[in-house]
Amino acid sequence: MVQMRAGTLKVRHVVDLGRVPDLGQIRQLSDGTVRIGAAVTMSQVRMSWIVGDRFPALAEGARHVGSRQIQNRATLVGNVCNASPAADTVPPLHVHGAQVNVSGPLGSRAVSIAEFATGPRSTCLGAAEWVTSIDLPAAGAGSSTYEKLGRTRGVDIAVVGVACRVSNGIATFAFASVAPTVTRALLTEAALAVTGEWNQVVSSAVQDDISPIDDIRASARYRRRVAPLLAERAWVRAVGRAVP
Amino acid sequence: MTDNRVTFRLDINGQSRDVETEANATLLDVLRNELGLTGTKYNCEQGECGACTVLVGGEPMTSCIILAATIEGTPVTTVEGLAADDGELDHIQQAFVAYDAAQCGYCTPGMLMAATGILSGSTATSEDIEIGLGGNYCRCTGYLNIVEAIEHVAASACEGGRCDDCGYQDSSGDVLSESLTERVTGRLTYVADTPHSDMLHATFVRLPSPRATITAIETSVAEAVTGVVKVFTGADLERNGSIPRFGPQVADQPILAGAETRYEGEPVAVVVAETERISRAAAALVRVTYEELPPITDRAASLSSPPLHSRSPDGRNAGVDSNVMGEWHFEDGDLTVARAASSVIIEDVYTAPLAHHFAMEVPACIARPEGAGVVVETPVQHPFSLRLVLATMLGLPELSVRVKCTTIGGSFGSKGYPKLEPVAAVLALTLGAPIRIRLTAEEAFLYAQREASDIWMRTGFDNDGLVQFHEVEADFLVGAYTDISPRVVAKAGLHALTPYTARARRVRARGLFTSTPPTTAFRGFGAPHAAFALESQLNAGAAQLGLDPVSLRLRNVLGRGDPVVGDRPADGDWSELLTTTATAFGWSMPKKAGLGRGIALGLKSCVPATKSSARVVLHPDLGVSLQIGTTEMGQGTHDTLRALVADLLGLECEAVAVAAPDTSVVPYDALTASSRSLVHMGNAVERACQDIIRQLADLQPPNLQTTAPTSARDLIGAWHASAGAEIIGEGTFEASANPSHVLGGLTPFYEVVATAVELEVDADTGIVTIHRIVHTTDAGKVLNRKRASGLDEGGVIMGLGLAMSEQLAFGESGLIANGSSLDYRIPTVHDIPRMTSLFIENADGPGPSGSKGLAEGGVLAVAPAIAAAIYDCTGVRLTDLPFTPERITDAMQEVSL
Repeated sequence: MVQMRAGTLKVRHVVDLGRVPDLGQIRQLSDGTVRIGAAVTMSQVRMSWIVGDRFPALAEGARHVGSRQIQNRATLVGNVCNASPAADTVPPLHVHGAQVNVSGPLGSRAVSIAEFATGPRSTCLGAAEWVTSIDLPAAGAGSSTYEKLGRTRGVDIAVVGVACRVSNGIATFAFASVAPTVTRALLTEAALAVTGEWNQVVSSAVQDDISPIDDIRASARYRRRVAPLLAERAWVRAVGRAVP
Repeated sequence: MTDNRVTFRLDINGQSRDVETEANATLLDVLRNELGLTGTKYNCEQGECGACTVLVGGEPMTSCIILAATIEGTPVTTVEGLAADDGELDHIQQAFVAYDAAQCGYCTPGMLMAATGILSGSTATSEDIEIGLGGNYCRCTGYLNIVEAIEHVAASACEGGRCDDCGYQDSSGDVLSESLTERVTGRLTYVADTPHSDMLHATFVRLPSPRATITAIETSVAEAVTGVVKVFTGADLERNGSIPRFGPQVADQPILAGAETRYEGEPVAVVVAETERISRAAAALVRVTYEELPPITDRAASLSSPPLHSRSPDGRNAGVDSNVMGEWHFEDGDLTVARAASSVIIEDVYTAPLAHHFAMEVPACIARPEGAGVVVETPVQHPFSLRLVLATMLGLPELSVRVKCTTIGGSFGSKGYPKLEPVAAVLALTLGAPIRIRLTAEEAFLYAQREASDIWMRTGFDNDGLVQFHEVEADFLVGAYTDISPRVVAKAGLHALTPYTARARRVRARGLFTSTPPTTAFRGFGAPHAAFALESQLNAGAAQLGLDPVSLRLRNVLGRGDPVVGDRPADGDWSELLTTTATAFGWSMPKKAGLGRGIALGLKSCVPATKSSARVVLHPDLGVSLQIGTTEMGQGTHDTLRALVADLLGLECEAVAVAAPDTSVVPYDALTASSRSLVHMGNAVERACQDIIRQLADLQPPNLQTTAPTSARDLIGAWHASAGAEIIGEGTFEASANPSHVLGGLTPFYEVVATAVELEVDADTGIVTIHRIVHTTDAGKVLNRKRASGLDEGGVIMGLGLAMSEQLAFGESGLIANGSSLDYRIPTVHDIPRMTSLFIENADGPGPSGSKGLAEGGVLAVAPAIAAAIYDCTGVRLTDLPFTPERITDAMQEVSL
């Protein structure tokens, strides 16, 4: 709607899928996978018992998306399809290995969240393709967190966002707002796997994982300064959460 | 325009409503334009500001980003649906009234709907309130009273209905209750709420260029659109061979750009159409060919670039040979001697960026031809000033120009001087039809700004901390046109140093043209920029001398009656202001580790040599009509003056009504600005009431005239018994003029405040958490305590935004990079600290009962107090506003190297 008003998105028709019953549900499939339909709102995500229990980073990310009014209207799938590098729910989807279910004239396909966004505001969706749902694999979900820094304490677009998941002692990270798309931090993960503690080596690995730019919200330098700190905070919290 | 209409049925406030509209109409469009439910307001139209919040299926949502057709069958509740059918207010509406949780009232409907959403949840903890209100902007109140009102309802044992606890029952006697009730019900209308199906709609064509030479404007495609009446360029609107120009001081701003644009988005053409939808769509079809000119966005570029203005419309010279709009010098004392006496010298440069008023009501106006002239309906602060500017520009007698001031949904200076009205009036006269212009929130960023500043300052102290001298070179970047800038710059220069003494001083203040949107008055009128520099110098001096910042100030602050260079002697007890603040704050008490504290004074002089007249009409049924040109934008002056009239005439407040300011109805008032109305119009109203009492006394039968003095109430009672006609009282107050004074006369009073701040800084991220603020105003005498506190709180929170996050930034192209609510960050409920608002009252002001004006003061001293507190806990001294987390961590790294 915002892009339509700004004229950056031109459309001929809008199809409202909001009332298709299945699309508005968060369901657990028989194999334990949690399926979040295309019309599920951020408020549904943040209040969902199953999301909060299994994928806490996603609930935290949803809480950071805009105001309460926005959360009541915006959908998780919309946030994913918007393909903003600053999307607060996408780093949690990355660390939880989410899969995007796509439907279109040629049938259905599943795309890994890591391959879904191809650049700022661009996705791998073909003509007339649309996202029906997002699947989160339940196995070994572990514990997870999302840390975000905006310019002010209030509702804001992330200057840096980072999700961390700790499962069986292995930590995975994904960053928002430090690269053209939300990005997994593989070097950070490898460094931490070796060191087992947060130290300079891990922070340096973060610097190698990210490629921030200057924009109106912050400089690349500031983003580089705070990204390791936020990642450490996310990791410390996730580890704390993992301990029974 | 393609015909793409749909029909559907909406469930609004329990009623089923059939709607036929465009398929892409938003719920906001439908509520306001199709269903006449204008209580729901708009601002950003991108879901950021919360003004349009309604309940959809019981959940708060922003109606501006919902396609109306998608919510068929889902119940919608708007502010109009909150009160019971018999009109009894809902509990949250009552609490908003009781807690004075609205000022201009524009954000109030959205706030109430968000609050209703919070209160319908399973819990309403302070965290729930913060999150639930986080998406609703308020620029007036600073959120504190709003939060209190919601907390009250959340905590109240009472389950709706009339509530004794919140004081709502008693508030019927409160002078604010009537105007607050209008605001909480959505009944108060703003200019954009006026039904407009009989009007033509105008939309500007703007270039995405910071500055350009126009080579051609192709209007035929836009004009071919069905529903477009005409597309005008500047040349089409020429009168007497040139494009009409306007301005409150110098008529240098053309209603549409001619051969070149001088700032980004300066209107180059205007599309007039039968509907706003069509005018906006067609504006995008006007093709302009232009060549880019180099932008001038900072001080260095302004000083080194060829002049922006090549002509001098009024024969004035400033800005023709260079980009210096004007220059003022103030000197006093012997600098050489004072330098020699100084043992500590502090020198620094303090900068402030362009900032935006961000009034919640987006600018709009209506102009209609009337007789031989024009009537303009607009939310303008100064209707008489606008009348003069329009009459001069149009070559019409003032009698033929009528300005009707509509409710002002926040202004802070942005709606003070003419902006949209000149072009609207010309279009109305040209087409002989009513014209409506309604800007978008993004356009509002191009409409008015607060000037940027660059202030070099050198200060010498002796060993005892006594200021020996100040040298000041203050440059203000005023944008592309003059507007009211000469007064802003001259006043900032004259009073750059005022609350304190100094043996010698030398001040140069300049206004510099830049190719940026014109700046205008903004709460504080240059004083906040000067206070940031001066107070920061004092803090730096105190640190170097090892003196406490409060005691250093007490040594230097002017005492009552002490001379002020170039103006009225000090008229208040400013030491008491400091000590009251320091004591309430606990300045001398130990603080927790990691916290930083800062304190600062702020001073602003009032506009001199202005006049206010009032007419008070006593009706036979003992109702009173108060006819004044003072406009109401949330500051509460109308209610304060109603209470004054009621008190003087011995009547109840409910008996007194304020007429909407209309230049053909009310007597002259110079302007509603500079915190002047309580003193100027207050005295005029007092005199008008005395006039009535005198007339009533003269009407007394001779036998009664000999008895002891009779009260106003007795006189009115006697008159009522014996007469049937109106009694009209008139009163005028005029502050004396002095044409040789730089500002035209002495200030009628000083507005002086002290602000103390406690905060902490996250050293890793630079994020600042402000824990508490104590703010004190020298009010002389407080006449409307609730609103006075509310104004100070709102002013302080606005100051907090200007200190911490607000700035207009330019990209490499010279284009504004953050001109929207998404990226221009004003404070939200998440940012507010605990706050105490205090007054000192020595009845030493020139207003009624010894009062002084106070509406602007909150904003004056916040930035230097925060800067001092950041220094206190981090050791870094910030000299560039705003204090972003990035700047703070940059400075901390520099210090640790």
